[in-house]
Amino acid sequence: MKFNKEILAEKFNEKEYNTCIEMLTNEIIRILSNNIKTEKPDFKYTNITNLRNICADYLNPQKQAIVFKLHELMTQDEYSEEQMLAELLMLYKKIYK
Amino acid sequence: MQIDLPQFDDALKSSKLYRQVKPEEPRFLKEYYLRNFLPYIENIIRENPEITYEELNQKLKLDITDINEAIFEASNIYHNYLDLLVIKYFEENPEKVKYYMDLSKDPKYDSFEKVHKSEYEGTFEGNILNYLHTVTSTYEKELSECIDGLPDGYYQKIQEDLNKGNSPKAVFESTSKRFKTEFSPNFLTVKNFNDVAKMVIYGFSEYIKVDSDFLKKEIKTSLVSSISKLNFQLEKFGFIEKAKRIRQVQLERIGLSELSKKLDKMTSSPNEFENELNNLSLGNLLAYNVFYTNRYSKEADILSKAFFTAFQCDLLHKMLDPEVSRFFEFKDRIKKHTETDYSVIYNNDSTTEYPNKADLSRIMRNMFPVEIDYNRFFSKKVTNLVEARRDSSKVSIPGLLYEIKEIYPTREDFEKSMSKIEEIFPSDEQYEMVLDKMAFLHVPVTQTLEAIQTQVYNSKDSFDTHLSEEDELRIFGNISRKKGLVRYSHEPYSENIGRVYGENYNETFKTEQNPDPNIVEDANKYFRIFTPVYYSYEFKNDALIALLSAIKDENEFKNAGIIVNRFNSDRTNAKLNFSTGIGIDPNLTSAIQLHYNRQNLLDILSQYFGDTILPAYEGMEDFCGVSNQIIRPFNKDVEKYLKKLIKDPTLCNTAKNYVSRIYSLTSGKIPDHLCSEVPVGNGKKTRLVFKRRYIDIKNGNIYQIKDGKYVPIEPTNVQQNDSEKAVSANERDDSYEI
Repeated sequence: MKFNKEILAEKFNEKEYNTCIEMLTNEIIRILSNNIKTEKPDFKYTNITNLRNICADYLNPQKQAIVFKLHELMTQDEYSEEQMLAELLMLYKKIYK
Repeated sequence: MQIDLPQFDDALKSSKLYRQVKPEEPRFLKEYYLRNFLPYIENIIRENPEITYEELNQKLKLDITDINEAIFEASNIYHNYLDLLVIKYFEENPEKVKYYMDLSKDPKYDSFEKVHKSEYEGTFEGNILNYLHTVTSTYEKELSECIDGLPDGYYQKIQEDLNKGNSPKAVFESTSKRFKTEFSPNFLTVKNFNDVAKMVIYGFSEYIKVDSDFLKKEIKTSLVSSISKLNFQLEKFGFIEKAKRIRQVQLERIGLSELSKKLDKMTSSPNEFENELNNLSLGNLLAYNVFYTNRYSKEADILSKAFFTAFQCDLLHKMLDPEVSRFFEFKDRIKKHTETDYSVIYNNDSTTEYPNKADLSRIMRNMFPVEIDYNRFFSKKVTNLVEARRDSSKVSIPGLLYEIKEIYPTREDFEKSMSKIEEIFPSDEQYEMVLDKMAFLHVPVTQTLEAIQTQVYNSKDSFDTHLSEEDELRIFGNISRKKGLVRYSHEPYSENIGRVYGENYNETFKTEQNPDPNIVEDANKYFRIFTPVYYSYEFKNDALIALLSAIKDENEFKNAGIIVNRFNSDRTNAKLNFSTGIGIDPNLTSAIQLHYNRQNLLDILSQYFGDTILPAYEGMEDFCGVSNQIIRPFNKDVEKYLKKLIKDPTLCNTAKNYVSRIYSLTSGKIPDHLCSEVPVGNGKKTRLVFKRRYIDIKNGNIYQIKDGKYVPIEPTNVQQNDSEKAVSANERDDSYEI
């Protein structure tokens, strides 16, 4: 589903948190991938671990920190739906700045 | 290496959110600390009553090192497995060998570093190129040696025959026959010659076959060692016992107490366990290792909390107090007394006489601190005691009274000692403080470990190290070239955390008992105890490619794939959560259930397998209500018992389904209740067939296979049953039941 803030808000109000999580994850990955492409035009996103492994070569420390947090969220299954959504919203706020 | 740590307020916010969504954590920590961790420390002291504080501290440091080492046994496995996938690709696509060999020699991609910087970085093609960089020079050297090793004229003849268009098989057979005829050698020499000839004739395809066999053996050995070490640590710190206790209660609930006893008896020595593991297939070992890695991530987490509690509450000094040793002696002396002995003291309500009922209650609490609901505990004792009083012959000489007075002659003595014992047990506020601090430290420490991983991957920077090379290798392993050699100490990173958060941390976490919390010291400790948890997740994630490969191989697991609990009304579409369950029916005593992030699953499937479809795992509801936290390879005794048990007519439905599922795991045969009846021929006969469903993880669409293609499944208008509606109990595999 293509990212759209209005749709995100709508899904959030309908308590479709799973959809919100999917939308936010994909949008954050998209923004980070575009950031990397400014340094490495042939970059293609494959998976979050690879993004984490190479981000130090192409992103500043602030953006790297976002990648690290996203990697943690996507690979450690300790997160509940509410926590996942809250953390992703915080990340999105940071990356959108 | 600059690490951007979040603002203090953001980190604190994250930590508070984590605490909010885990309301059960203080209870789990208290239960584990009192029931398992304190007795563990007690045993160390009992085995060495003269142990000093420094020695005890050092022992725990070594324990933490062992906990770390155990998880690093897995560090190479999944990179080796990637190489196996590359070999499989070449075996299925031999025409691609030349293409990739040439590509690997292209100046743009002719080294690991160049591939890393290229568009192939992180892709399967990148893995292929890296594999070729690893093996090509070895292969060319071996080929050259094999050619030189052939008798005169053999190489030219082989080339001629291949150029004539003869198949490699025919050329090998004629060459081998010629060797046997001309040299009349013994068997060993013929075998050696055949290996050499195969390399010359088949070339790279023979090399990768040999490499594949070697890698499978390596991977299997590493998996066995990893499972063994993880199991040892879980057993050492009481997690296996805890899992057995939970399973016992659950099986007794459905009338399977005898089965519980048989399963409990399955403990074997470390050597016996390794022998059992060696009999498992590679796929089963993979699944078993991921199960253990997953369990380790949960249990090492609670263990890290117990260690941190011990450090924060100065447990070691308290445990070495002489009053504690006196209490150990007292415990040994009174444990031989029956409950009837307690009746003499229990009914003594006097407030002045010593010992009285209140004193006995206090002893009970200090001996059994984990019994949180004392009313329940004492009411059970009271019932037994009341019964004992009715029959005065059961009330023995008050031996317990005697023992108490032997060890604690006076009330003052008794009070002093009990107070010292009670200091060992953290208060609820102390548990909360420990968890608050750990939740906070989790944020910068995880951020730092992630940053370190990028450096490890890129093998960049030399890190300041306070560890010897030998210790680093021992703890972190010589991880393969792809990950680089880890050489770092936590101290500079703890100091960094101290610089960023020091004052705020002090302000937020100071207490009366600890007015000046030392963030650097706390962070250092947290690094060491959290590292195994972090790497458990790292390796569980690394394992995903191997796991998906095994799941997609229907020869490996007849029933494995995505656990689905929710469907749309006509069951043509599955609703998948961001945390998706994977189920596997292994040749082990229970199903394996794991959770992975759905986006991550999707990305890995797309990257390595070309589609986003996985089989559905069927029948998770059969395991409903019985925890799968402890799983073992089968033995003959349990198999025999299960074969008898499935015919037991007195089993309730839940037990019947559970037993038939476990029994089916012994043979890999799908149980009947998961199969559908299909007609045979034109007659009235039917047979049972396991109809597999397939789920597209991208959109939840459900398929079946017809004529080798995925075809959308036909709609079914069926009411969802209760097991499919009630998802929360089954969706998580990390629930703690007490």
